[in-house]
Amino acid sequence: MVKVELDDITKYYGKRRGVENINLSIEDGEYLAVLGPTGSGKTTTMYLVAGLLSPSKGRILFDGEDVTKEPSEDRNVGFVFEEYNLFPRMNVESNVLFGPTVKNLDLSESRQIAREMFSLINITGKEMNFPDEISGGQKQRVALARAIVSNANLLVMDDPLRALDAKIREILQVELRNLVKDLSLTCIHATHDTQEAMRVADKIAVFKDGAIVQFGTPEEVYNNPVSIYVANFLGETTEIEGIILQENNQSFLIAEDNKIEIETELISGTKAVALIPAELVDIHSISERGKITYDNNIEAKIIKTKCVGEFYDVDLIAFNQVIKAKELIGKNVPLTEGSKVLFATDKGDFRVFPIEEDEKDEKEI
Amino acid sequence: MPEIRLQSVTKIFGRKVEAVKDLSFIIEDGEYVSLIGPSGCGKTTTLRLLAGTILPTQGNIYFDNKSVENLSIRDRNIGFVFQHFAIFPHLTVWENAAYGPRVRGRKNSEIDSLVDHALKAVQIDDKAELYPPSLSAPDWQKTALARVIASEAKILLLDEPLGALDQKIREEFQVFLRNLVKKEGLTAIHVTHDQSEALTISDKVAVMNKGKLVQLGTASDLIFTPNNIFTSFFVGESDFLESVVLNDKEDFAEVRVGQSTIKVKNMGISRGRRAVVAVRREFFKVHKYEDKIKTGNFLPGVVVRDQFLGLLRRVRVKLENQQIVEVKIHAKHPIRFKENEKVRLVIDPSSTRCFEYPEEGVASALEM
Repeated sequence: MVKVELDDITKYYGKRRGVENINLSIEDGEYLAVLGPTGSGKTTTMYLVAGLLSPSKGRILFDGEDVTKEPSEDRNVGFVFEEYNLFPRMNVESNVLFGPTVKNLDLSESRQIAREMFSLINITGKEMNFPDEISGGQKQRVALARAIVSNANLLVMDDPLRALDAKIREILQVELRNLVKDLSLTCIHATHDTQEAMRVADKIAVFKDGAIVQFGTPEEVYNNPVSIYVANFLGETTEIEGIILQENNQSFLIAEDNKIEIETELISGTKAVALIPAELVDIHSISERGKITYDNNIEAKIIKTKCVGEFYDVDLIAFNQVIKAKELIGKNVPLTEGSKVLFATDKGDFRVFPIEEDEKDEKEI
Repeated sequence: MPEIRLQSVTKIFGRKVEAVKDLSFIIEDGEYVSLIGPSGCGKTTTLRLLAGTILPTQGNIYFDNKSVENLSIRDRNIGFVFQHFAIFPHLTVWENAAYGPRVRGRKNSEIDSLVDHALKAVQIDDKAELYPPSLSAPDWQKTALARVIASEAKILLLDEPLGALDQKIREEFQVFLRNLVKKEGLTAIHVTHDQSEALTISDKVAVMNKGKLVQLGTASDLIFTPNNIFTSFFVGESDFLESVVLNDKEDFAEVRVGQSTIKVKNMGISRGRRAVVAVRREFFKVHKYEDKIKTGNFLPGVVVRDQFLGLLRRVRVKLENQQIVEVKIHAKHPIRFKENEKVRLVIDPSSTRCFEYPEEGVASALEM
């Protein structure tokens, strides 16, 4: 249980930027997801917090105390890597007890904690097995136990589930969050997977090119992405370009000849792009026109559907462009290819950004 | 375009590691089949057995009803594509593709026409003179595929062929790969850890666990009518309700779950037997307890968490028997459920599956 603050942290590797001017505060007992693509500075941030790297500039504070110069072993941080990093010649129990052993902690007490840990992480019965005798999911559970058992109060995990199959990943996401909350740990978890970030975390920091571009609860970030980049990183969207029209206290996007009600403060005449996340596009049969209460009901034609497990991925054609939709299976919607349907959305579903006219010019200069 | 048949194939590594056990299935001529399952389930071993790089300990493999027992790898007419592009970096794309026919001693004129056809089929003919290091990842895989096609292989074995590609490119490549296989009339067997890839690309999907074939069926079979508890668990997400069958006479059987009685799909489990009802998390409907609902087919519970995930919401509900189940609902579902709020989980009997209670217990049956 520790509050972690990064105060204007910058890290350069030679001339190459790792991260620049990172300001971040993680409350005591909070679960933070650091979300971004490869090369966005996630791993650098994890290593800086754990003390495996030292920053070129800036301070790191634990509970208000400057730990920037403290070596990793004095920070009480448990670290879980993508590649497990278990000791191959030690069995599960020895791996987990490695920390307490080298730290000269009371071993009988540690063994007791380890035993509770094994049942908590569902690995009881494998204590005497060696790493190459257990599955990837089990290895990562052992790595997690090892990270926590030596009195760590901050858990730092660098894409811990990346190497695992989807099914195990989904199970471990729930287990991880429950464990962190049960033990009241502060936790930082880097991932490139948006659903994973949303599933485990209280707060999300979205990284791009070594900087934080957005910070907030999963719901805040999802509902109000600050840029097209963030909106697209959070999920599949369709971009609709048009001109803004403000009329009788309502906002619209005029795209082709369609008037789509949206929410925006951009003034009439502004060229804009409205992004609609695929999962917010609802499909209804034409006969429901008038019975459903959406802000926008636009006629569209289904050109492709495929079932990928939990969702149907549907491509629609409306005003000469392809609209991507996702429908949870189990809902009774008409999804025959070629059929005409209603593409239903609410004004708040669109994320609207102005198209910078001079952007192109600037690039040319 | 051969038909592939495995008959009671077992492969034991060393003395006791049974990688595949008594595996029997048929892949029809020209069919695209994916193998999925947890790591260590035997899917890669199955692929290697088909390739002939390892031999079965027991059982037999037939290509078009001919046993391949004594057929060397070379004579099996098989093409192999791996995740890590096994192509020759010091040969051009064209020379890579020409490798197969060349080692088979084909005439130069024949090699020319086979390679030209192969490069066109994989749409890489414009890069014929380039060397692999100057190509992108998808083009490496296209080169590997061109080599298979030029070698006139009729069976294509793919081991995580798209594993090294980014998600967007991966999805495009899935469509490309399926079209190629169909156009060239190949029989394809594709190992992947990505379920949605398997469901998208194949005619049929084989689910494996612990060396055994669990179910072979179309995507729709596996999603909507899994015939066993492991498929229900592995393909998508389901919850499993332990129950006892009270009435087995109607289309919908009556079962007791905790203190409640609900109707579920009758799958032939007789009265008095223990059963496991599988419900996909998309198929539960959740209502506030006080809401008027038209059906009596529900389980009462209290909300543990209503979690917003953008893509959807997940409502975790604790049932009267203390089991926690999860419901996936639309992100814009009009009601936000509060912690500890009483709710009813409505179950549509036609969307359920009802399996015999596994002797080893539910947890063991689902162990991967």
